[in-house]
Formats: sequence, C-alpha cells, structure tokens
Amino acid sequence: MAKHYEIEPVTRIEGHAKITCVVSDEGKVEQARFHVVEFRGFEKFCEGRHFSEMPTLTERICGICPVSHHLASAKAIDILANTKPTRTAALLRELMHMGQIFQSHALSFFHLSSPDLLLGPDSDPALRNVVGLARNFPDATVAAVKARKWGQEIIAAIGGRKIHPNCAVPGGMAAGISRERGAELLAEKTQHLDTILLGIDLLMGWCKQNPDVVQRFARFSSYFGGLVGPKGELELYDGDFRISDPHGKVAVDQFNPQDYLNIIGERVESWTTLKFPYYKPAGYPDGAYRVGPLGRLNNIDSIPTPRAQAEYERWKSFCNEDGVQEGTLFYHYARLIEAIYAAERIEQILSGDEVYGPDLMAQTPGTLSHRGVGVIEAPRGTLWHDYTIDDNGALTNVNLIVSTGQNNSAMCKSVELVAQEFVDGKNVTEGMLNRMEMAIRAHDPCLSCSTHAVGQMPILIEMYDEQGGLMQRIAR
Amino acid sequence: MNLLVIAYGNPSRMDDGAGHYILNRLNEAWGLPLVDLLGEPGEDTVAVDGHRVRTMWVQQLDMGLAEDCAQVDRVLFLDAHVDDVGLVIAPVTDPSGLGLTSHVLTAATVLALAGSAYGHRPEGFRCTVRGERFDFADELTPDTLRRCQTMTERLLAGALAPEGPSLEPAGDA
Repeated sequence: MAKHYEIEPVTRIEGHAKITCVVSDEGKVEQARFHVVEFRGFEKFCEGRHFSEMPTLTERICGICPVSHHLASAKAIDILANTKPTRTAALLRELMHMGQIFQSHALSFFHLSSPDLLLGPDSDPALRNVVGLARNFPDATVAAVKARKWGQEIIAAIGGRKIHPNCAVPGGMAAGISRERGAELLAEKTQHLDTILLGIDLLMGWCKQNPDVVQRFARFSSYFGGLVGPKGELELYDGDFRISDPHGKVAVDQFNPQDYLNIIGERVESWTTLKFPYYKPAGYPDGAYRVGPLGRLNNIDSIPTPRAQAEYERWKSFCNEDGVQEGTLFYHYARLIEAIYAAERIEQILSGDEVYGPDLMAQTPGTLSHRGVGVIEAPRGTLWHDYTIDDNGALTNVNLIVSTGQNNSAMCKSVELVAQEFVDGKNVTEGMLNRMEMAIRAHDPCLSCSTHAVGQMPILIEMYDEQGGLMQRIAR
Repeated sequence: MNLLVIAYGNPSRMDDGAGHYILNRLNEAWGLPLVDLLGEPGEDTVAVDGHRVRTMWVQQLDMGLAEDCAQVDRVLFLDAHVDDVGLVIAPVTDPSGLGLTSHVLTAATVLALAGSAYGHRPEGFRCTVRGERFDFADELTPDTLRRCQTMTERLLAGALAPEGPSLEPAGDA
C-alpha cells in the first residue's frame, strides 16, 4: 500500500504551504507536490478603488518586498496617468529598489538558507536556523544582520520607513534624499559588499565539500524569463522582457511588457491556489519558465557593473555546454551575484549628482489611459501589475503575476526530483524531508505575495496511507 | 539599569494595537514623546530615576533588534495575545526549536540571537494583554483597553525594579 507524506507548512519561507509525498510499498517516491493553500483575493478587492491608491494598497501584500510592489504599481499608474518620471525620480526609485534587492538577498542567503548548507541538512532542526548559525559563525551572522540593515536604511532614507515606504506618485517621487544621507550610506558600501563576498566564499567552500549533492540536487531543464536592458544586460528596475529556451537560446527578446498576455498564459491546477504561468508558444507544461536570480542569470548576456560581471564570468564556468545553469542550488550563488550588482548600482547612483536633483515630479497632462502594465524585477523574479480603469480612474480589473507564481512549476519539479533522489520511503528521516524544504527555499518563495496570504506556523509532517488514514506525525 | 521597551503590532487592527497603546502610556509617564499612530514607528531614550530607558514601537520583531537588545540589561516586549488569560507578564525563555521565518521572529528568538551573535542575552519579559477583536479600526475594545491600563500600572511599578515587573496582585483585571 502506498504511503502519503505531508510537510505542512514549509518553514522559513513566507506564507503557508505544504509538501505531500506518495511513497510506494518499495519505498520509492511516486509523486511529490508543493501545495499552496492560502488565498486572500487582493486582485478582487482592489476593484473599484482609484488607481492612484494602488502603490500604497498593493505594497501591503508583503513585508519583505513591499518596495517591489510599490514600484511595479507606480510604473503601472505612470502609464495610466500618461506621464513619465523625471530622471531624478527614476534614479530614486531604482536606488530604493537596489536597497530592497540587497536586503532581501542578504536575508534569503544568510538567514534563511545558509543554515541548511553551513550547519548541514541533517543537523538538529532546533538549531538549524539563524540562532544556530550565530553560534557557529558569529562574525558572519553579525555582518549579515548589518548588511540587511543597510539595505533597509536605503529604503527608509527615500521612502520614510523600512517597511511599506510610501513615496512613489504618478510621474515621480514625493520625496528625495539629501547629499548628507547619501554620503553616509555610501560610506558603508564596501563593508557590506565584503559581507556578500564572504557569503560567496562560504557557499563555494560548501560546494567543494559536497560536490555530489550539488550535482544531484534538483537539476533540470526549463525556460528562463526576466527583464533585460537594450544590450541583453542585467536590468532589475526597467527594461524589456526576454525568455530563453532550455538550451540558452533567446526565444523572445525586447518584448514590450505591455503585451505580456500575448506570450504568457496562466494554468490553474485543482490541488493548489497558486497558478502556473507559462510561455504560451511552448505550451503547458513545457513552457514553464524559471524567474528570479537563476532565471535572470541564465537569461542575460552580461552584468553592467565590474565586480558583479567578474563573478558572472566565474558563474559561467559552472554552466553546461549550452552556457546554462540548471542546478536549483545555484539560485543561492546567483542571488549573491545580484547582491553585488545591487551594491555597485547603489554606489553608482549615490556617487552621481542626478539623484540629488530638485525635479522630483513630472507634469501630468490630466488625461488618462485605460490600461497600464507595470513590471519590475523583484528579488524573487519578474513582478507584473496590470490595471484597467474606467473614465473616472476607478479600477475595473487587476491582474498581479508575482515571481513565486512564475516559479511554481520549478518548485514542484524541484521537490519531486529531490524526493526521488534523497528520500527513502522505508526509513524517512527529518533530514530527508528537510532536503525537500531546501529545494523550496532555494527559490526564496514569498507565498504572501503569490497568494497574498499572511502568517506562518510551525512545521508539521504527516504520513498517510493511500486511503487518507494518518500513519505518522512529526512535529518540530 | 538599561531598560529597553519594544512594542509591536498593528494599531490599525484594533486590539493588535495594545502594545502601541501601553507604550504611549509609559512614554507619557516617563516624559518621552508619544508615537503617532499614523507616523513612522519611532524610538526615544530618557533617564528615569537614574536608569536609562529606551522605548520603541516596531511593526514586527526582526533580527536587527538583536543588536539593540544586546546593549541593555532588560527588555520588555509589549503586544496583544489571543490566549484566554487576560494579562501575561512572564520571563522570555529560550526558543523551543521551531524553524524561523523572517516575517515573524518571536521575542525568544530575538533574545537568543542577541546572546549568540552579540554575546549578551539580556533578561526579557513578555508583557501582553488579551485582544478581543482584530478588525480594521484604530481603537481598542473596552475590555482590552482596561487590560492595557492595568498593564501600564504594573509596568510603571515594576519595570525598573530589581526583580522586574510582576503580575501580582494576580487577577485578570
């Protein structure tokens, strides 16, 4: 009789989820699925609100990446208001976004994922967290806390507060940054960049000690998607959309994000509230694409800052003959490379004069367009805000496609591969189940964003027989 | 003594603002500026009877607070709870082995991190009152308001005492 394992909810990600595993009598994993079980209906209850409220409303979806929602929304309402931000406003937005990328990536690697790697997936789960990390790597932990704080301070310097800043308006920004504050933040850059480089050293050290795991852990082919600059370079704030095929060849390039529905479809499955976006020309499920750090680095030609570009060239040395990196664990490396880029962009922006300019807001003509699509590269991947309004500016339709949703297929595939590779159904250990969680955490999902749910719970693992009877329960 | 008082919660969700309310009553008593409901979560420091007192309101506990905690002798965590008991003043114990999320750190985890990362885990007290409703409004229910007033009195009496705040005399209030 087949056995059925559940891990509910997955810890150290944002929001509610569970993993189920059906295991045959022979102990082989027959099926593994990643379920998202929350629903909040943000798109629906925004209908009827005035479009200008959306940057403030939608950033409440998440406490980790509110800046991404705020800015994607701001870009959408720029289009609705037929305006374009001034150069100073655009730089302020990008600077705040880089602060967001940096703090989120530092948090993801050092505090959420590195305990699995540096303390080991089989280590005591009571200590396999940031407290345990601090006991074993106190200096790195403190440096990482400070690095994250730097990113948050950059957000607060522009948006007034670290969480849920409120500053972007149609055509610009409501507030700027002083040269004095800019200089203070700039002075810290080297220290925090060094922390990211330390993270890469720690990660590489772990990879050298665990080449077998790196090779066997959720390696699979897929499409990749994200924004790129005009030369195919990494672009996290603006740019056009590109999708690359599983062999690294560009499938669609410089695609206007306003027309995304022509190439992106969404599939619904009955066992999860999280949809499955896919690249339409390739169909479903073959057209499932990965976004976020791994998706982006597999989708670009270069990185336009020197230290990040050097690390990107090193990254390419780990790729396959097509120049593609398929390994899920490489999300961590890609994330740290992007953190380097964010630190360098922060330095570039704060070192210039334009970000301190007085011209924060463009004129708005007073006319409205009826549809606007704002898109940005959030820490976890491409984030789409699509609004339709009536003649009075009231929203009649809202569609949000978030990063975690676009990685839904990849997370399911990763869990299944890891379960089949590492789980012995006859002798299930906590460490085996944690490896499935590691596959999820590598994507750094934000289920609060993807389903707009809130909250978290301790982990519960349950084993059922084929008829649904509870056979075993493991709580920690 | 160096005392840090951290209130957290969302004052726009009715009784979830209990910590914010208590903090402002303490601020009034200690001569510290009030934290505006609509403003940025804030902090300030003052000397009280020869002690150094710092208060802050944050939206959520996160790991950045560990550094602040490591610099003081005692930390009070002010919040609402949903258990049956009306008032809780209890020492913060070590975390019980749950995995962590970044959104919601517990007081226990913040103090444990202060100890493991910064070398000093201060004494901590969880000071919470039962909340009745958590809907969208910026007012406390009458029962929770009464508990907040009682909690304020207990903290003013014991926050800076050598033995710390006490629930005595017992009672729901």
